[in-house]
Amino acid sequence: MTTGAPGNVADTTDDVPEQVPVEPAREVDGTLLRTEMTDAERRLLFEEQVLPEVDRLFGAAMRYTRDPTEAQDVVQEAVAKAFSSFHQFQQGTNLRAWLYRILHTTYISMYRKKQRRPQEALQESIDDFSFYDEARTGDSAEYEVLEQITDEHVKAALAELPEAFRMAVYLADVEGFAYKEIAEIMDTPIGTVMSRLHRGRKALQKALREYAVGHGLIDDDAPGGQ
Amino acid sequence: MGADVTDLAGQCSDESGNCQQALEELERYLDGELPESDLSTIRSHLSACYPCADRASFEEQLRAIIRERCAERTPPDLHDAIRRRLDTMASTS
Repeated sequence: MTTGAPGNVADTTDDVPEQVPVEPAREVDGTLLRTEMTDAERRLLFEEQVLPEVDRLFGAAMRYTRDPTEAQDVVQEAVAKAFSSFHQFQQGTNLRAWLYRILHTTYISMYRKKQRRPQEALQESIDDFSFYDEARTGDSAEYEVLEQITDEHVKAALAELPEAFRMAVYLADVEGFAYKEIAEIMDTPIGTVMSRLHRGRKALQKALREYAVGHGLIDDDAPGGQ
Repeated sequence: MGADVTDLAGQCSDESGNCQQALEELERYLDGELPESDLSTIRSHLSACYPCADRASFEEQLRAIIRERCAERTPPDLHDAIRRRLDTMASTS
């Protein structure tokens, strides 16, 4: 439901108390300030909209940092930053992509600096890898191979991926973001996202294949496994 | 895409021979990123070609497994810690 005087750009939700419009939104630093909301109302709206996302943000931060304590720190910091700039968030636009963009930049500013290393690459031959082709050569049906892959192994296989590939695959396959959203979150061109996704998925599949071989789920002499 | 795409064309049960095109587009198709105008071609190929359909189904299943296996248990005090942080921010602003 929309309340407020004509010219107000921000919607409020049903649960936000009735309010007296003060003045139309005013522009500050190129953004429209939600002047019609009190601090308490803004906090309430923030909690309603953002706190339900915290569990998923923590999952993402775990894949980013690979450490529960660091993941909590990143999420807390990202949520605090989101709260500070919540007045700039345009209601009705993509809240999840906005939050993940903040999480992404928060992670980079907190952790990547201190462990900066050159962008890791994946070997060229990864493009030719196909888990499907290899899984079909084993004794089990290929779908049985998939069912036997555990949480720990998927997490370990993701953790082995170079950072940029790991994040792209996570954002697409676990969070379900579109290429365009991932490009915005990671601040990279869409073509780069597509390439990282393609190669990252191949590398992830190769790591999962090694797990399947290690557990006797498929034969070690499957084609392309070396 | 690698050599596997070309090799697979020989296994195609759909005599239209569109395997190569379908497999090149498969990733974007499963990602929901193929333009509307290309959807009917790949869909009709997948419905006619068992090897390509089986590969597509495997890839889909693999993504579902990755999604399910990545679930994390949020530490019980994270939500409270965040609320306290917001309280602090509110009191100092």
